[in-house]
Amino acid sequence: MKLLIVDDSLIIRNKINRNLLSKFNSILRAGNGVDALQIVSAEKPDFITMDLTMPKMDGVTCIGKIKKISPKTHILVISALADKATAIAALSLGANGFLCKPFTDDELNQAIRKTLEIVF
Amino acid sequence: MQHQQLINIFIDSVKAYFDHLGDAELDIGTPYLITNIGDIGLDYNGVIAVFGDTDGSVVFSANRSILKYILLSLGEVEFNEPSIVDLVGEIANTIAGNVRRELGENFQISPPRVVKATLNQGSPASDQRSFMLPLRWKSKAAQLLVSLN
Repeated sequence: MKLLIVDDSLIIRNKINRNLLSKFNSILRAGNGVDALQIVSAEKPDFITMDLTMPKMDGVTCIGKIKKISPKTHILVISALADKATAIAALSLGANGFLCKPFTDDELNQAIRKTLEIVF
Repeated sequence: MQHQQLINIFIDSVKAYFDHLGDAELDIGTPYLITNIGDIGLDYNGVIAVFGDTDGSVVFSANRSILKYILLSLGEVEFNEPSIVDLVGEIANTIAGNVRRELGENFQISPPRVVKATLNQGSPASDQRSFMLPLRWKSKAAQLLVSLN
């Protein structure tokens, strides 16, 4: 499976990458929504972890566009925005799961598992 | 919302961030109100602009030494300028984003901007309420400045 990590924080991208290295065949990274869309068009990742507050293009806008390009891609939102309305907005656009920052490695693994269980 | 309630929401958010690091307890000093901010800031300041139902800013300010310990806790092996700048912005973003659990979606926040050394915030507008939370983790200092109308 191919994973795309989308987050404007290098540290968060590194943390997710370290944690999921053994679970995906290939890991790609993007620092904003614009770069993420280009990668999705070219690479068609199976799974995406998506931040919401990013420069250039925010995550909610990006999710809507990704679902048009690659509707089968599974998306786990990982965001500091902890309100219910944001989670509902992301899920209604096609995200498959929501994990709130800050998160532990266990919480990330559990969220990935849950997201895939829901999808399959 | 009462001032004390607002302070408690930010205390919970800061505490949650440091709790997830798991290494040590965060020591939160007595919050104090600020009427004239002027120059504030330790080595690095992560600044989040707040808009929507309320305007203002949230600033997480920290010395280089505490940021180094946090990077280590997060499993980072690189301790360089881009990592430090990234971290201080991410902490500010996480703390400000988490308070939306209580304050709702109309507490809108910008992506972080990082300012090194002293940050001149000037005086808060007359309709703004500003307070400082002194923080200490692993004996290293940081602060959270919240200024909202």
